[in-house]
Amino acid sequence: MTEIKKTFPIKGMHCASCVRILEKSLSRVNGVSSAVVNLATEQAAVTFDPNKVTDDDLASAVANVGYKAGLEQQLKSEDEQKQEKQKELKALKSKVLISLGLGSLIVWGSFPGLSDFAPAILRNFWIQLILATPVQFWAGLIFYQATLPALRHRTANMDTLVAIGTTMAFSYSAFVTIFPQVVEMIGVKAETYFDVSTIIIGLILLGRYFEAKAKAGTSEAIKKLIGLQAKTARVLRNGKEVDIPITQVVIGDVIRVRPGEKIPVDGKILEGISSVDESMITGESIPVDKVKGDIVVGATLNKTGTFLYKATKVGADTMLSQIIKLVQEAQASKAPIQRLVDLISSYFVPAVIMLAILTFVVWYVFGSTPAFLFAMLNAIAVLIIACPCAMGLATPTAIMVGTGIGANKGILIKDAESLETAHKIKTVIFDKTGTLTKGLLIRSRL
Amino acid sequence: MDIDKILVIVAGTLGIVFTYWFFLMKREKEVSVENEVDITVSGGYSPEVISIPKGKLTKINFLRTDPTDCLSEIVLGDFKIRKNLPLNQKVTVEITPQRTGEFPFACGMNMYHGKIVVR
Repeated sequence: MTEIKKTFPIKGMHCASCVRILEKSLSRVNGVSSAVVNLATEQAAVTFDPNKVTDDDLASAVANVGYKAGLEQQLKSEDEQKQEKQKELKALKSKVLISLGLGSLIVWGSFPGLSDFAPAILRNFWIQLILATPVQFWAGLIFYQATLPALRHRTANMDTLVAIGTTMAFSYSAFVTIFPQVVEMIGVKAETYFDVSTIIIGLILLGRYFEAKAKAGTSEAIKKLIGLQAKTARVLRNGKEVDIPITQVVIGDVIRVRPGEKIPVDGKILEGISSVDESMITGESIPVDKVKGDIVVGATLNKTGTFLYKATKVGADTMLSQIIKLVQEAQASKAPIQRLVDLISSYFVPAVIMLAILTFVVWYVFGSTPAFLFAMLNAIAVLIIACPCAMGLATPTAIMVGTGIGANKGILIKDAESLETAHKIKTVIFDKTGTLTKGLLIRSRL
Repeated sequence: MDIDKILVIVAGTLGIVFTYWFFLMKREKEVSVENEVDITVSGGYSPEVISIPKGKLTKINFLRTDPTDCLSEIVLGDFKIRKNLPLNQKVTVEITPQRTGEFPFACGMNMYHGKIVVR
């Protein structure tokens, strides 16, 4: 059981007694271990067991005593999602290690040539069956779990191929182990193929593991953009200046920005004079002078003076959030060329299954003896080798990484279609020097 | 030719025909949607094909109940939407289609498919 901590804003607090009432009400919720409410920042920090407590429970506990919890924006915090992903990765890792470990033992005991040096116990079919069973039904459970619901929808996927292929190898081998005389009666040497089923499951899970790790990195670009944002804002509340998280700044808040600080959100200057480095938005490297009435943009850098300004755009409306949204949209967009891939991938898995059946028939009818073994092994090979996931992933991953790197370097790409037409560009027109030059002095010669 | 070979040829042919029929000849049931629709994500999408009116905001709520990693993302490429679907948590996607036509959606790996028909 793990507890998580969640911080959310509370609206409608105005006195110190509110704090007590809220804390009492929140800690009375079953599963909450601690609740701390801060009047100055108007937020509550609650530690609770996520299995017992939902956001609705917390919201109603706040509402019961007459306040409003701003929970809706952060339904699931990034930390929680990250924790979940980490847990999944860890589980996957142990499955990979165990399957490959047991798999290598079986390979040692059954692979021609190698098995001569293996201890007798590993060459025993029954021992191999015992080693292969957990791999097939524990580590390989996810393949069945994905296959059965898909079949109900009359669709098939990569997991279906793995499930069919490994089940064929496993059940044939189990049959040979239990009834060796039946197989020998029809003239086939009793041999098991537990190595095939276990190693395939182990390697495919290993691929999944790497893929999951790589996926975690694709949103790096977005995270970097978000990282440009100031984390806190110094807001005037009840005549005092308090530092609050940027997510809690509301429209109309008066914010103080000191020299060298990042401007938290978009707004209009009320008093003070300064110069602001807006190169992040405009590309202009020379700081722009700002006086009363001028507009300032969040995430730009305040250089010289101190000023007070009124927040006019917060949260998802700020310029930086719009840029982030643009990048996210571009990453999700579909390149025209991908339509072809879509079409192919919907026929792919059924086609592979049909090809595998055909392979079996052709090897059985025209192949050398023992025909059944060759036919089965080659059919399994067709099923396993065809991994359509790479095809489905290639274009979107390229687009995601490309637009992400572009955004990091200050190039915003509208969508995948623009990217695809970009190779036809012959002439590029720039509007001003700031876009091209850095405007920073660099020593060129001594 | 031996009897077992003939049997394998017949069974194999039947298997291929069955696979074709089972996966590629299914009839897609189209669900007509006004304003809002819940799509359950488990081994695919149900309903799989929805039709929505043009120029009107439609809310699509995805609820994933299947732990398969493949399904953990939903991509509506034509609408520039790519979202994570946390397990057992409703994720709402809002679209206002500006032109008619068929717009496929799929999981992050393009393995499971569904379709939005705009009329």
